[in-house]
Amino acid sequence: MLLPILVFLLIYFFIATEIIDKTIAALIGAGLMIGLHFVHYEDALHAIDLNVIFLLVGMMVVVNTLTDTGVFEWLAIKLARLAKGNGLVIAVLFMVLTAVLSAFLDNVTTVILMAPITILLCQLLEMPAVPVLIMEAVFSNIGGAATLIGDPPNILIGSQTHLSFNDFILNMTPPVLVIMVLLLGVMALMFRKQMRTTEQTRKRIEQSRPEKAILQPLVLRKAVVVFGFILAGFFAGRLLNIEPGIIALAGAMVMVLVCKKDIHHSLAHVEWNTILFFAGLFMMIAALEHHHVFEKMGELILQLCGGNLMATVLTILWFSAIASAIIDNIPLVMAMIPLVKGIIPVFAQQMGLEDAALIQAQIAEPLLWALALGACLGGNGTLVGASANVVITQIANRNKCPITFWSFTKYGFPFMIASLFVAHIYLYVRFFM
Amino acid sequence: MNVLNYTTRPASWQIGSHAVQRDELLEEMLNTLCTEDFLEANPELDQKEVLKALIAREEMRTTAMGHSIAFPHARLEKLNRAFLAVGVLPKPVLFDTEPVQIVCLILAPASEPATSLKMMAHLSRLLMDESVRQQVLEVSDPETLRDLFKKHNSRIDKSITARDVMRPPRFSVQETDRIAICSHLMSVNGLQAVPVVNSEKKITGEITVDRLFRYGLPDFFAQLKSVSFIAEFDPFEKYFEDERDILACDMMMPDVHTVSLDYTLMEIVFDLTIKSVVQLYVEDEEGRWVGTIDKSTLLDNVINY
Repeated sequence: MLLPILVFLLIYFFIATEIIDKTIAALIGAGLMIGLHFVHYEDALHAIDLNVIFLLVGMMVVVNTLTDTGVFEWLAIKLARLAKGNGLVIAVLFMVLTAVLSAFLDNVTTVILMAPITILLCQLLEMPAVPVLIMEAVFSNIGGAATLIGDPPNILIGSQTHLSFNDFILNMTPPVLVIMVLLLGVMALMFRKQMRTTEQTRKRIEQSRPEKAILQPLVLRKAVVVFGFILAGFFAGRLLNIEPGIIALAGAMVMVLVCKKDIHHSLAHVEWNTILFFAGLFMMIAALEHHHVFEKMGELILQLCGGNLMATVLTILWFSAIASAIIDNIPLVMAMIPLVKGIIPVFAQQMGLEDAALIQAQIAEPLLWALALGACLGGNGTLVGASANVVITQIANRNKCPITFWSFTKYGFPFMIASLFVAHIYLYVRFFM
Repeated sequence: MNVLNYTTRPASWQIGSHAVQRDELLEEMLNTLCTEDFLEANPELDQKEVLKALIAREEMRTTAMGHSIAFPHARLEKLNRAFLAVGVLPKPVLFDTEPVQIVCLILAPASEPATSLKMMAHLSRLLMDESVRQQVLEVSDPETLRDLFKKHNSRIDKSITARDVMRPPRFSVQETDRIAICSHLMSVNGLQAVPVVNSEKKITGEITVDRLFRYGLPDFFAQLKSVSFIAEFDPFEKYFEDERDILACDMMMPDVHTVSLDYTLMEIVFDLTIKSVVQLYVEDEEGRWVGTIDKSTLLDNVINY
């Protein structure tokens, strides 16, 4: 059992420190686990969750199709006009847009879409771009927590635990909305002086021509209709017994067909390194599962929490948040899912529950929502806590809007703590009161 | 084949013209070349049309290639076979701004495009040799001139390389020049790219129009799908104001496409078209810049010649 853990920790070290590209590290790790016979190749292959892979590929194709139409620039400039060029209102609306977009798109994609137009509008309005960009990363992580498809941890949890798209909407969206309202208020108070705009700069927004932003109106119309069907598919997935992965992938192909996109072009823009990173991690985790590592760790956590479910749930919330603030939350959640699954039967036995539905509602759900909330919201803790933070920093630095580790963490960390308090209270009120 | 196959004795070897202007010289050379035999062999050819074609080609871009050499040439539908005439002038005649003393006039049938290119390639290679050029300039009678070319086994079946199609070095900047100077030079002369050259005539980098703009424009510009939705905003003054005083060595791109004199025409066409290289810089054995090839050079030499 010790050797596979050592290999895992070594690879994890490379992923966390980014000494080696994380995709390369994960795939070499998978090769080592299989090559050293810590897991059978067949078992490792079965561990690759194609539902997750299909969902990621499908959504990447969908986003690329939508991006090419110019719809995101249109949305941003429309909002700026709606705010009549008022800097603070624009900032608030942009955060709402970022959160909503990240609820349905990948966080990194969202910030890549938002950052350039944000910088342009900040230059236009002659207001500082740095605080707006930092907040966009923060709100993309918060918005991503709201749905099954919003953030990789949720995709993983949804796929591996039979929680549906609607379960996420019912259980994750309400606390996320509360967090958003609270933090938007705080943000508005903090930035009210920096975001002042002059009449001259507001005029520039007035004179903008949002309709010019739409480059492919026909494609956009078709793509939006197909996107609507894909979302409807997610909502109805449980009813129809169809997993989100195949809805996203098949839906993406329908979009490519209907919008007359070149499939080679569409697939070339899929981030295959991310896809293979997931595949490598899945295989590595399979080796650890094979050696019952997570069962042992689960037992350890149970001992630490004295067999108390509420203590375990809140520990998972805070632990996964703090851990996500420091390291990549994808491998963390991949490792935590089997751990959580392992401790569910122990609690069921302890509480004398036998009915599967009851076990799901009273034990599995609080544990998994704690994991999802912790892993998603924890990303805001530091600059390296989430890929969206890193990406927005890179974009900002390339555009002479420097963001440092501390200038990010100064805002991110208190916002994370505040959002975790809301999550803490939510879990307590919802499951233990 | 040999270039001498395309010459006629004695009309092709012309010494001592006193023409003072380019067109006058071309007309004079044609008059000598178009003997009765020549016109009989090409009954449909109109001598005036030939002169027109030669002048039109010169107007498009001079065929002078430095070192007192020029290759006036024309592709003619009604010509039956290619002809070459070599003229050596006692006093230089201006081709555009280039003084020329050795004129290799080439007429080629439209159906044989490669012949003239290969002839030019061979002759320029031969005449680039300082000692040969000197001997040619010192020749006093047509027979000696012919013997000189005969002596240098003038076969033209070698493949065409960079040395045959390159243009002599013209515009360049130094590493310590300010960018304001570079952009002025480029705009005045309509250049897409300009090489940065050090004191040893070696190329250390390149500045392109694209680079000038990309350097000033912030990165987010490249990430946007369009900017048409912004009606009134000209941040360019601000973007470019910092740029003017930057030195060429700080902005240049060091990965310049340098090639050897033996780089083949196939490779050149591939680099300029498929790989979209703006300009190829030809270096001699010591790594010194000796010529430039860009898309218009290529058009001149491969399509328009």
